[in-house]
Amino acid sequence: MICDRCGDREATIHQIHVTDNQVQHLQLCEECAKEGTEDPAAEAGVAEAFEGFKSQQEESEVCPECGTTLQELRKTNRVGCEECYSTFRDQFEQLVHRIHGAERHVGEGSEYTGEGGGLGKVSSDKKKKMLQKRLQKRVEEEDYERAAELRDRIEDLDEGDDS
Amino acid sequence: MNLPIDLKQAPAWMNRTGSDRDVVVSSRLRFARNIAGVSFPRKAETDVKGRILDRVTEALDEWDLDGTFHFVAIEDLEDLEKEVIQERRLGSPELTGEPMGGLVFDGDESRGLLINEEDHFRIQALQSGYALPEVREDAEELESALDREFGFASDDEWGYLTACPTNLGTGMRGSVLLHVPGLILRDEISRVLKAVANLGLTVRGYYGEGSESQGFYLQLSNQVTLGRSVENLLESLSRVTERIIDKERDARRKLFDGNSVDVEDQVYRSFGVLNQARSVGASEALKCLSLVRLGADAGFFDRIGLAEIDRLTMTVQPAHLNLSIGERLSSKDRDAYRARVLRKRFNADETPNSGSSEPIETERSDD
Repeated sequence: MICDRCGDREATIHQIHVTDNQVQHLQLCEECAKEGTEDPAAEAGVAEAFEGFKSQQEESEVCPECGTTLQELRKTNRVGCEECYSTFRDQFEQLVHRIHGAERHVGEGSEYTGEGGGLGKVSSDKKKKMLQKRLQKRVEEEDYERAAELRDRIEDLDEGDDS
Repeated sequence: MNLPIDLKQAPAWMNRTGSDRDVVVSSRLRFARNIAGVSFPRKAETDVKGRILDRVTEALDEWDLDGTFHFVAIEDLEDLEKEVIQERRLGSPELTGEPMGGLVFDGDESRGLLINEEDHFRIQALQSGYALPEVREDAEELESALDREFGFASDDEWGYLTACPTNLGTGMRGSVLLHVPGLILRDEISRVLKAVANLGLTVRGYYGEGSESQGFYLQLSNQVTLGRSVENLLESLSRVTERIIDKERDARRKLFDGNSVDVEDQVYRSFGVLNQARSVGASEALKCLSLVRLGADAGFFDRIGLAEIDRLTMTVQPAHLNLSIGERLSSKDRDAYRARVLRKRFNADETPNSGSSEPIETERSDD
């Protein structure tokens, strides 16, 4: 039997997927079975949901934050940043409903109350300390090739041209 | 060797007994989270992803979490180590394929953090047996610590914002890995699954037809993540799990009731392969271990515990074998080595219980 996914290798694994009251059987080769995402059925569902994005919507619309376009969303089935959810709000409303059968989150959100938040900036001192820690480990393991790479990175930091 | 774990041994979390271990191999829960104001990994600059790694390692030093956490940068790993990480369910192919990926895990590998995978953070917890409340608690502790540190992207309407809209809302995926040879051998599995399918759960399984079976495992997880609370999602999952546990136990009783020579034969043949064969492929090993697991639960073997079988199921996977030898073996050599590892275990201190199998009444065939 040939693998249902790659159509090439021999299928040795029988996978069963149950979603929305549908029991789906797949014959897969070991590689394809391994490659499967955490939830292939949901994966198929989301591709379909993205497909439903109205194409008459201005195709030129671009997320100001990360530059993701509608076409890109349809192609990758992945959102670029949180701002995308605002930029393409209308389309996402339908999509969220199709995927989850609901419109609103139930439960809590982030409880972060600190100032600034986000990523902040790591001081180059701290970064250097961490690289040195890793360097030391490599030297102990006598992995000199990787140690040399780390040493270069530390030197770059010293020269202040790490960006 | 760059990984701070002993790869010949199965992860320590697998040693715990866990409840309902006869049917539930393990429980797992993960949260998908992203840092507010930072593009998701696919769109983030390398420099930004590097900063996330740095900030997490810094924070780990400062947090006062129970246990020791290790940090591993994906770029520091050998290919074989990356594969082992996947086999141990610590990381995904997507993570190990990300040069700026990072992995944090504790000593018994029950708690983990995947950094710069599809989302900035995938926080996960694993335990043996049925342990959804425990894995939830473990994952939430790490989740709160990260939220205090970074502040997660979230939205009043759609909850936590994630790279894939299938994870919006709670960002939570709870799952249980079930061993259901009874339901599969008795051909009841489709019926049982149909009954649970409209309860918002996804089932993935690996099995073949009849004797070609691949191990009789099913993974049950919540399908949606938005519109229902974490409690509510886990409640459905655990309710269905309980039902399947009951049905599976029932099926096993019927399986060994009356004329069970076929099943017993399969179990003891599998034991024979594990304890005598000179070459065992990965799927054959999985299948035989699974059938011996069924037999061990039914009391056929004195000294083989379920935990031990589950550990072997993990450690005889290809990358584990390669890494414990220290080189990439040809599949022929690997199958021979796997057979040696299995023989060593099953020969050493186990012979089937001579009294476990009742005399077979060959004339009674109407059952």
